[in-house]
Amino acid sequence: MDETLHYDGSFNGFLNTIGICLELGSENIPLVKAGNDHEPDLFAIEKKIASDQKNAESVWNKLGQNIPHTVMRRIVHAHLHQKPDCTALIEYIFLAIKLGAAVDRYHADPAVHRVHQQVHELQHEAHRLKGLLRFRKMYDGSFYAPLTPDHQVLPLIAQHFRKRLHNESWLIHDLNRGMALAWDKCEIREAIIQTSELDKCHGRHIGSKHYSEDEIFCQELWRTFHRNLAISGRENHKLQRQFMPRRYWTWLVEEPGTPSPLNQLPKMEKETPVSRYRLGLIPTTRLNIREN
Amino acid sequence: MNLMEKVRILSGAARYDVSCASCGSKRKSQTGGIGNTAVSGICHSWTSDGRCVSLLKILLSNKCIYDCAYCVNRCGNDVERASFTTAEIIRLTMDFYQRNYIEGLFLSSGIEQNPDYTVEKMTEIARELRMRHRYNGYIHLKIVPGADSELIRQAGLFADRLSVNIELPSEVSLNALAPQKKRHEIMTPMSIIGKSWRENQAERKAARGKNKVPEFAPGGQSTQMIIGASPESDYQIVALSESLYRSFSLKRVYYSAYVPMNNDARLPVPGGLPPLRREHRLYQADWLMRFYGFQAREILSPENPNLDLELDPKAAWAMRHLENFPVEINSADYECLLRVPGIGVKSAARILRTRRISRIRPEDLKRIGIVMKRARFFITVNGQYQGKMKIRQEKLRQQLLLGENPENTMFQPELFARQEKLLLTSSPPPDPGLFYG
Repeated sequence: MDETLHYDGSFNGFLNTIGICLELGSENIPLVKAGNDHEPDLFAIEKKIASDQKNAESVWNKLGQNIPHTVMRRIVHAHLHQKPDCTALIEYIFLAIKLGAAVDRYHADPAVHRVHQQVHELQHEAHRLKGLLRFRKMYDGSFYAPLTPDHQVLPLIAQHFRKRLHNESWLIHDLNRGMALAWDKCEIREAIIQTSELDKCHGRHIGSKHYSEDEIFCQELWRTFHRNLAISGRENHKLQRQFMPRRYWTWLVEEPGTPSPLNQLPKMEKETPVSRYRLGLIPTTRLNIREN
Repeated sequence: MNLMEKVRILSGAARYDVSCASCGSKRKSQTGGIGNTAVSGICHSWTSDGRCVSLLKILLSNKCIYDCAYCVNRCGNDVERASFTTAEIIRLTMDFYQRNYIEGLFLSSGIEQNPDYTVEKMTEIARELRMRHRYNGYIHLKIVPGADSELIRQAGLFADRLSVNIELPSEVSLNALAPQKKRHEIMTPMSIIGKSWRENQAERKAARGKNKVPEFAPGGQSTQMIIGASPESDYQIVALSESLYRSFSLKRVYYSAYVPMNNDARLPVPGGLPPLRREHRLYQADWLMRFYGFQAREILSPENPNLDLELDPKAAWAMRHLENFPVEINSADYECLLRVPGIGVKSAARILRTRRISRIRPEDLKRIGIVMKRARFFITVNGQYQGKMKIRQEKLRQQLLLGENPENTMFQPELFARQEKLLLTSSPPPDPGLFYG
């Protein structure tokens, strides 16, 4: 089919697109593009899809009757990716209607593989950020954490912190999208915060004007701890970057790139006899020189 | 001494304790409390040596009455000594936990006065955290060898994981390097923890839904041994690990490459390189035993006592047992698939799941997640052998090494074998004569 469907990038828009594709059938899946993915195609006829709330809800209910909820959740997660492969996702939906829960076992299929790959990237980043996110304590006792994730991971990590810091009020701020999720000990609320490129330049000192009294001291304690934990005989910065890529270093409290202090060798109190062989004073091989 | 100085000294003193896991416990958050545990464990940071930081790993005190040869904190060494108070540790734990720097606390200690006193102090901290501060995060306590059984049982009620360091792989080495630690003092606490953990698991399963049975160290038990400080072969180490997993229900054995620090006749010279490649191969052998159904005698034997540093243990086993290959992807069972180099636990499970829906074709294998560079020599798909040409045994090793490290393409192994060996080995192992007299 020559037609390309173009929607605004929101999940509602995507559900509308699914509704149209379901009518067209699994043989005629058109190319689907999200709003931010703007590569104009010379020969394709572009059709814009409006984002209609009611239609989206009816498509969602219709899907829910045919597809198990585990697969539905995977579809939502796949769409949270920064560049969701919508065509593969629609093929995945058709397969899911045909196979049910077994679609997630069909690892050989290219569409299923692509969707799983994207969901894995999203969940991998969410799991990483559960560890790499750093809260800063503010003057009023609440906590603030800035992030610049590639994908929309806020929905996945918010539940984790709701359970963990149930008794504290916190705000997790996605600076890339200007979105934030806040917990005020009762419910999670969504907020939209105007952010500029200048805000991202603050780095780990962001919001330092409003820190609580002991925040700077606590950060310094953590930096000291982190610096002294490394064994200098095993230094491997490449491995550190492999586990913790540079793009996550901006908002950390510790400074990963700086070299750790050399572990000092202890001085001996007692005299233990050290073998002269060990100190290299006796050669390991004896040359057999014949003297005439 | 202020708090910053204490953190600097005592975190540095704790760096050689390699266990870092925060997994295995499913502690839920409670109302009025703070925190929970993640059963998968979460890594919060990585140090400049590439190791994960997920817990606040510190010593309660680095003053120690023992004089173990390999230890930086031995009483014979002239290092700065410090001790935390209970309140300081609790404050550090709570502050770091609230800010999401850590998953929990890993508390170890040098031995002050006697083992019982030290373990009691550590248990007191864990109890305060759980009871007074309603803290539900992860706690890992290191039990000192020689501690009383009742104290261990108390500690298990508040901790998520307990561990006792086995330190060295044999009694001979232990007597030579750490004469104050007796073997039975290490084995008895491990046996008590293992038994209590098994009994607790059975009790909780039986009482499900009825009366609440308090948990005993839900994350289980682990241990640690030092590699390269004593002359044991890899076979002895791997066989010991296997028997520990079997008899004490351990979750993990950690292998710590010895970093030469102390100036002692019984140990390698300070400033030398730690045996990192050997440590890596030992971890691979450990994984084979735990997840791939291997036994210690399959990986190594008295005739072949050391792991190959160039080739991983699984590929080395496959090379020795080529009669088991090639394996047909569409009909082999799970255990056979696991033994193929390049097929891991996840890929084997995916193959089984995909097989129920459709027949697997050669082009599907990469999508399933198999490392084709290594596995192609050992598998057939629908009868078709996947190695591109007939490989003879001598050439197979070279091909597997090429697959592992593409930089080897310009390298003729036979020509430079001696140089390669020099690059791969680290400081020479200690002289066995020092141990056996």
